[in-house]
Amino acid sequence: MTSEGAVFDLGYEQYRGPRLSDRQVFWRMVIDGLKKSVGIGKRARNKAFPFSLVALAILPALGVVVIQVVAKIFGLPLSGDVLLDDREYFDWTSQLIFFFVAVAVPNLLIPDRVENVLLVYTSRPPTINTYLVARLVAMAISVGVFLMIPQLVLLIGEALISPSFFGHLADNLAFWWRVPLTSFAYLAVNVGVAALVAAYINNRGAAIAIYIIGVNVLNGVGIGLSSINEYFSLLSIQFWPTRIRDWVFGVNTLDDFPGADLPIVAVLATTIAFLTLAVALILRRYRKLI
Amino acid sequence: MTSPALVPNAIIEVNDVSKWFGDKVANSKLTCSFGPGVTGLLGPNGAGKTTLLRMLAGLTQPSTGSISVDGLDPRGHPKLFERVGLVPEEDAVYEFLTARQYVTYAAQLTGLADPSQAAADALATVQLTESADRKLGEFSKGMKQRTRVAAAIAHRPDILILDEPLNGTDPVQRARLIALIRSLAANGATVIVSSHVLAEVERIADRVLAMTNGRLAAAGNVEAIRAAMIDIPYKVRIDADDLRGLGALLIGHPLITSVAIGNSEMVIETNDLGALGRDLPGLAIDSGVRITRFQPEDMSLEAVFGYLDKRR
Repeated sequence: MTSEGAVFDLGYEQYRGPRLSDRQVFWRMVIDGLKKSVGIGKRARNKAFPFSLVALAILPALGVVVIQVVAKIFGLPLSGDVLLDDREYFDWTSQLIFFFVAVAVPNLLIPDRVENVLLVYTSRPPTINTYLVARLVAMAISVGVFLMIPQLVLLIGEALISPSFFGHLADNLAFWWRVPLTSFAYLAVNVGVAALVAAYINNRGAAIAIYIIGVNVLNGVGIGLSSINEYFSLLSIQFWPTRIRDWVFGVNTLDDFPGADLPIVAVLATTIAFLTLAVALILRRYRKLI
Repeated sequence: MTSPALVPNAIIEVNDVSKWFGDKVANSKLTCSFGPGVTGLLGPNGAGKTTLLRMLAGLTQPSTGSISVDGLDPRGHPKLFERVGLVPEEDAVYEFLTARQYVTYAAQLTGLADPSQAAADALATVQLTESADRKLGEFSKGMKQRTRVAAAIAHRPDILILDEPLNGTDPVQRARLIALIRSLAANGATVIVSSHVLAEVERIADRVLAMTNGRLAAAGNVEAIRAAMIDIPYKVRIDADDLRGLGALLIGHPLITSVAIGNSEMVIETNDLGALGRDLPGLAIDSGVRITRFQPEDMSLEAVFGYLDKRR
């Protein structure tokens, strides 16, 4: 062994300065996840899909508002059936977030795992649990905003053409709990299923395909088997948030669906049980990795 | 007597640690410790170095035994990682980020109040300032490696775990990284560097832990490890103006176990290099032979490790 050669003083000394709180570090991770979920910082083609879906979500709401404004200006009669209300608008946005989540969740989870980037987190103070929670919160925020913005456009547009802007808002106080609660149901179910698939599949394309095909197959199986017993309709994952939405809005739009008359308690219990199981399985998968 | 695998001022302690994956034993009954300075972890690929480093960094749980970092189990104390820098063997970078963004993000994760400045300083230390705003996907392997070193030192840890840190670097970058690693140690950091390249470890480390087949094969500095191998004689290459005359004197000498004379040099074997070094000048003077070279052949880490590897 030799110890020849100079040792240069590069001015290194241990850091003893101020540090951010755990919460601040957590939110930096959430922001990182939000950027990745919509492709910010990546090439334009990575942004094209999520931003196209956001545009598709918002443009019809803007269209509804424009039609209402034009009708008001020109005194045209407008049938209520022509336009979408906040509950009906979920029929449209829930389809879009299904595809948004199908792509965004695998993009957020799989590369970190497959390309060993998890080490960036786990060799530093954040734990694997913190990482997962930050990723799921990032997805929840992006999907939540995706669902809420068109609803806000509708609400504000309607308020603008109403005789009293604030009077309209005051008359629609239920919006502020119905829409967030329904949005939460849609995002929890969709993100839960997609995250569970992405946690166990290492190929992004395969994860996207399994999520899309799997959910649709389960929908079909649920509907098919519900002729034997209506509780089989609970196999249809997309039925859960829609049934919760109807319950929140106090309507029943699922007359043709075999499980429409199932007690809401059964739907809520199934949803909560699934989400609990999904979280447990995702944690199990990641704890085995680290 | 204290084992040379243990140091008195240990920051990291490994106590009877074994790790297996199914039927495969990666590490077997390791007991060693690490303190300030550079410790080289040496061994061929598959010797269990990476598994040991992952356990030191809290990324893998030992199957049996325990590891403590400054008295704490690294698995249950994530705050400890504010003091630890890890350069893993894997690539582990976001290729779509620039080097500056990546190192800044790494600094953010350790909670630094000014991660941008910390990243700029770390990138300057590894001489990547000019390339800092290029995407990592465009980097060579050596540049990525330096970026990962920058990410590991951005939060100025006092414990640094480097798994094959010189992989992919060119000679100039390697010299600079070695200087950096030695500088960190000179400033009191505990640095553990693994490598399967003997020359690298020889240049970096004050102390070596040699591993073969998941076990600790030797510990200490290279001279001490070599001296401990009393069953393997030292080889010494000698040049002299009268090789045959000197050879005749040495055959039968109590310190010499073998003599091989070639055309222009002689190779002898001895069990006591120090005593031979003292006796040989007198013998040469008495016989009128002029010795022009006396070179121990197997004092290098490569030779020592060769012996260790044969023993397994």
